[in-house]
Amino acid sequence: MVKVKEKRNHRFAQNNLSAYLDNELSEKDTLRVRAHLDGCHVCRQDLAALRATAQALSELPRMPLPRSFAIPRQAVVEQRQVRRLDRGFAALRTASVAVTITLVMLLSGDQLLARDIIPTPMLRTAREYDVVAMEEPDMFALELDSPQPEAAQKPADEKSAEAESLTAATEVEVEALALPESAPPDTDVGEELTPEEIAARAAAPPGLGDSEAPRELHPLDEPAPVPDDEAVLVTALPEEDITPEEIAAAARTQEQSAPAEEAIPERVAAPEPTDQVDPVRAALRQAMAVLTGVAMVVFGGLVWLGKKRRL
Amino acid sequence: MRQSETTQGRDEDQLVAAAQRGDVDAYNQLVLLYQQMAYNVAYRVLGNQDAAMDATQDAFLRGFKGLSRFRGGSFRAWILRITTNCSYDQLRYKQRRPSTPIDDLVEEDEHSTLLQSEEEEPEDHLQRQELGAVLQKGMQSLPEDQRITLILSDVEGLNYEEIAQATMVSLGTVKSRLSRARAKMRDYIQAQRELDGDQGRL
Repeated sequence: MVKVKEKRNHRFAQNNLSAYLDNELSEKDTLRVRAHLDGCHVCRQDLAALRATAQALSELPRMPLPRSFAIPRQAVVEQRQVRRLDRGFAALRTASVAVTITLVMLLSGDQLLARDIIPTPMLRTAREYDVVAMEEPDMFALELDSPQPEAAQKPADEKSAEAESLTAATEVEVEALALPESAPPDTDVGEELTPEEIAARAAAPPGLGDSEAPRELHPLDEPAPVPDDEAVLVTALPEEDITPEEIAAAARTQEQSAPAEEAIPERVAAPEPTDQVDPVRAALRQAMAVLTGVAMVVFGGLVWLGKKRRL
Repeated sequence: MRQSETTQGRDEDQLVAAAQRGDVDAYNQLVLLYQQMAYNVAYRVLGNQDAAMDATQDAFLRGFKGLSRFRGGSFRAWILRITTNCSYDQLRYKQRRPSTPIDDLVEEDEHSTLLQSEEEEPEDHLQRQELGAVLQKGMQSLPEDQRITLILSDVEGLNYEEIAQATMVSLGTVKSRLSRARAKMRDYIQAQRELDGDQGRL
């Protein structure tokens, strides 16, 4: 019984020698350890060794200061500058995120157009759609902030010149963005149709046959021609020599664009896709070109500020 | 043997308050008070003067920036906590680029910096150098939390309360860490002595 108690005291002392050394034990525990030390040679030795160790550590020389660590006033000024830099950096970061998201949206919009309405309606007919679109404002067209409405108002004789510029812009864009999808799609459907079929389709009144398919358009799609736009189509450009084939093709694409939006790009044909760009896409391209410029400025600023901040 | 609580008392509180309002001069007075201790702690944690210098510099700069987060208590413990963290950052930085093994630097530093005082016998001086190197190596062999506890307690003489503040643990944890650290150091020194067959002071 006494031995058990002694063992317990020994263990207690061993665990508390360090604190005993520092006078960090309670009065009761101090007395208990002291009582045990009186009768325990091992614990006395251990305590002496601990004390010697602590003593040796406390006698370790202080390292001479290599220099003062006082903060230079300049550092405080610099700190304020850094804080300003940080704020600029945060703003640029937000801007870069916004620009990137917008660019991605524009890019995917362009891609959707490229895939869905590949028969990108020929410029002239596209213009007519725009006239309709002006009368029934297309939410998305407004949102895009595109020059489309202006284009629609332009007189017919300006169109060819603008078509050239648009084509040029498109080519630059295609080069810059390296978009393989913007290349012309396969035109098999167009080849399959005989001239008679085309003529027949063009002659057929809208609202019959294919054109009975749902007319709601994809948000990125060309504004839907209302049934009576056939008249606009034919009458709006009387002085220009439009061949019946052109009208027919336009009418056909107009009919096909509605079903084609159900993601069946193969069904759609693009008569002359490369040199004829519809204004929505042209506007998209222009917006993308501008945004690419903005993005370069923003990213450049971001890199510059980031470097400056790290210095 | 143990240092009493900070003697500066009210003065220090005023300095801290002024520094918190952005007074650099007031903060620098605090730096002057504690830079020796902070540098020493960093050196004992790292065992290398250059790294200790970087850690200390970093600590006082961080301290100034983070002064608004100081909510009373012992400023010394607070700044030593930052110093400790900065030292561990340095340690990890060094461990990622092991171009300069810390062990080599320890002895070099000890030899070059432990200047011989005039009244000291050459033999004693040599012995003191060796002991210092052994102690530094022994501390380096401890786990980080035990090492910092031992440094703050036995090298720097902080009391348990301040060590608890500086290491953000309870008093009981300080007590047990210190107990284990001292026991390990004791064993390390004894083993070292047997290894050398040396009749050192220990």
